[in-house]
Amino acid sequence: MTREGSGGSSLTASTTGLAGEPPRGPALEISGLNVRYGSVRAVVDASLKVEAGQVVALIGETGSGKTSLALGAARLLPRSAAVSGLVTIAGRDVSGMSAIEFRAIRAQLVGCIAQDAMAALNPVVPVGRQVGEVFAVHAGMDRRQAAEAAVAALAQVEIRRPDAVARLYPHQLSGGMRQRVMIAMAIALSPPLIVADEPTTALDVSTQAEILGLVGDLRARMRSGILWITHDMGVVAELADWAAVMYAGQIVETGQVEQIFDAPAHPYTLGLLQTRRDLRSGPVGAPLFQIRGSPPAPGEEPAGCPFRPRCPRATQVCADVNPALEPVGTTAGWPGAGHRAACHHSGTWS
Amino acid sequence: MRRWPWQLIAGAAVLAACAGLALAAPLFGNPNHQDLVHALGPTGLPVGPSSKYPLGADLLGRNELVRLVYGIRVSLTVALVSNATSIVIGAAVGLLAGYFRGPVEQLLMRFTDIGLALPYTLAGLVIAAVMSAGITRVIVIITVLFWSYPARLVYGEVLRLRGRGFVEAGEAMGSGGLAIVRRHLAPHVTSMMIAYSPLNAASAVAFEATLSYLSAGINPPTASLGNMISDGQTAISYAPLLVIAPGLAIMALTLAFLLVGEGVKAYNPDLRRLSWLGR
Amino acid sequence: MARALTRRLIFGLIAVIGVITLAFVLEFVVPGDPAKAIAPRANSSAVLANIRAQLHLNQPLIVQFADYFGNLLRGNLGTSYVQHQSVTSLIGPRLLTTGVLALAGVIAEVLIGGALGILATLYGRVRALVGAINLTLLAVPIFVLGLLLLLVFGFRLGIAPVTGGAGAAQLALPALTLGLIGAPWYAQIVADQMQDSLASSYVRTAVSKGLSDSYILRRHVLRNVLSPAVTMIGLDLGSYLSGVVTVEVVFVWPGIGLLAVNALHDLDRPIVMGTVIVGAVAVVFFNLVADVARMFIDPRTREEV
Repeated sequence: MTREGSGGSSLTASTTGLAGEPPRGPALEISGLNVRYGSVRAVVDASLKVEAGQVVALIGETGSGKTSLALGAARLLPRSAAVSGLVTIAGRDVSGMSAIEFRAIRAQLVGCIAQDAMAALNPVVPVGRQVGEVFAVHAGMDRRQAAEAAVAALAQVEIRRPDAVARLYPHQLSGGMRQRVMIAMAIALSPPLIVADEPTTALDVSTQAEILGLVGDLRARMRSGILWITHDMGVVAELADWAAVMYAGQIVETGQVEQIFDAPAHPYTLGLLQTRRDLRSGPVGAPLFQIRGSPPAPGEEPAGCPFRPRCPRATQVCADVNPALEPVGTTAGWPGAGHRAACHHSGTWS
Repeated sequence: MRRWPWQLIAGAAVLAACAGLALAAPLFGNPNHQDLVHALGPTGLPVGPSSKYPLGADLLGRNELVRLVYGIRVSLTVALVSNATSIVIGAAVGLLAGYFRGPVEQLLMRFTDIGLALPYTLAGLVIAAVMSAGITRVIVIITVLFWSYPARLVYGEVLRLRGRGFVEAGEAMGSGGLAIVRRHLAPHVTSMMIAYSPLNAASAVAFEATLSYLSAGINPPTASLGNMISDGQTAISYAPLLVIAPGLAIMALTLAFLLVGEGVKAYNPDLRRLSWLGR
Repeated sequence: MARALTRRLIFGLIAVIGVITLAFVLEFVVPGDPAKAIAPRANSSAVLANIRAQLHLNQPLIVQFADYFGNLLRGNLGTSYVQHQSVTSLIGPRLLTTGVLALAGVIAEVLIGGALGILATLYGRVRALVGAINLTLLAVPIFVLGLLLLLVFGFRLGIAPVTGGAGAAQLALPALTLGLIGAPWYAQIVADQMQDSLASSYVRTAVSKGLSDSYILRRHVLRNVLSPAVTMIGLDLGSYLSGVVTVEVVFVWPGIGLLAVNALHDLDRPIVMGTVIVGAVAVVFFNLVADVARMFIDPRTREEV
């Protein structure tokens, strides 16, 4: 089956699995993560940090490696994926654990919210039982207690009449309700880390707004760290504190959301923002901004900066040396502490 | 030129060999000739394999090998004829139902549904009860019971093709019904039936054997692989060859058709392309 | 759910009526004089005329049909030409006998097929072997397989009884035959469905919840595999019944199938027709049972039309 990874500790007083343990460091810390499918490298030397109580948006288009990074860190990729690198969740080294060790505690360490809730829920089991499973297996509850805990969890995600909904099957629920069920399953044991894989992409705009609102409420209450994968800059603006932008398997810019929106330090980020600005406020009839060219095919690892073919200011050094994530401006320090970008001309974009 | 899939070659080879045997059957001898003197031992039991009787003799002193060859001939004949009839009728029903829609479609498809739900051995017994034994009976039974499968397949295909707009486009251009059928539907349906017929033939071989075994098909003294087995069943403990030989022959024929079917399926995309070009 | 079931029920009834009509047509309309068949040695035309009058053979067809149908509803399937007993009394006791064999066969084919399918999915090396086994089982006619099993286990190894009868020991080989013949279909379904399930998103969700592999297999995957398997049992019934008939003949299992085949041999039409009608009713009934079972297992099918 798949390999599973567990996340770090959370600061919630009600952590059932790791009750009594003091908070220990960031919710998630990734160093030098590489994910390979056969000869194709989907994630290249990625490093990332999510502090407790923080929402970090992982931004990129399809194929950028964002899903592989998040799921690889959570040890949820199939066996055909080779994952290497250091991953700690709440201070515990998860990448070094054996599969069995990890499986025993993963529900208490990391909760995962999948993109397509319809496919991610078992169609022939009522949703209440699917939520209750987590309690029954990991919190040592019997069937009745687990059922009650499940109803409570559904109430926590603002589902009305949770007792009735618990008896329903996934196909009987609306998309938004299914997504809430997924969230309930993920937060059941109040894990310190939550990994969300584009959970609102498949929803209509108003439902998306509701779910984002719910997540905002939960985050205020729970103080877990959230890694939120998305390609929608609007969601980033609304929800995230920090952002990490990925391109061709590499993290090309990280920083606080305000910093990145106001003063992007990488041409790709600038391009993403420009596209969004045009969509929202550009003059009617004007052509939409498009980053010319297209990303490298999976497996292609060109020398130098991967964005060079599409970059308007590429120079010779860009063709020779792949830029590392370096601090922009005067803030120095460990990844995530300040605004960092992987560009030889990082100061010139804003 | 693409390499032919091995299944197609293997299956076709076996079928060719059987066809050869079938055509050469009269050269082997008379399947009904009973040699009570030499073929039955002193105790009355049939002799085992020897130079004159390579597969031994059956309980009535007949040469098992000769009967086997004639049995293969019968099986092949039945398979080919009933395959053709059931597919032609089935395809016609499917085409009509799919093209004309409405009440015609409902009626035809109801019949098809009933045909699909029939327990075929029991139904075969019923038909057998009102016809006299022989090859005609078997062909009729198989045709009646097998046509609903191709009908359902063709119907589905016609609906699918309709969804792609050929039919409406043709009608809009003023083509008559027959022309539309001929030029747009027929190539796809034909290639689908070509892909399907080896499977149909395999089932026909097996079903004929079962019917003859149950005395609902071809009855002795005419040799059929199925009735050879029912004849030989009582002697199974001391002369198992009487059952095993025809049994293996049936399996060989069935497998051959199945393999050809697999091969044709692998080959089918080409068939499709050819039929497009042929338009 | 009730609506879907009612529709199936109605369609089933129509099918049964269709079969009855067909049986009537074949029994009375097709050439072959029933009177002569009943009393083949009668040489007095008066006797034959008497029989014909008793059977209402001189009445218009519609009246005969109404008669026939009425009789059917009262459970009267006619009288055997040869045994001079009511067909119902001959079929009745054998219903259970055939039922037992049919049930044993279904259990066998689901177990054997399911096992093959699960093995092929979980252990890649076994897949080719299972494929070859499947192909062989598909190509062998059921009676040939039965006889081979009888030869090997009955005559050569002596562990199975070789005489007919309806005892528990005699059940083994015919049930095994039915099981082996049906196994490839179930193996295929189980393997396909398991592959789909294992690759599916909800298994990944289960993994993310920290559930163990065996738990996931048992509580999530197997349930999803059951549904198409049960559907298959329902769809399969017609051809399955045919297999049961043949197997009864091979192993001399005293059920309805053997009765029908012997009746065919004896040119005893009423029994053959009666058997077919009973068979049709059974198929419709068990199809309905399978539908109910499937709706129970897979809630998505409950609103299906």
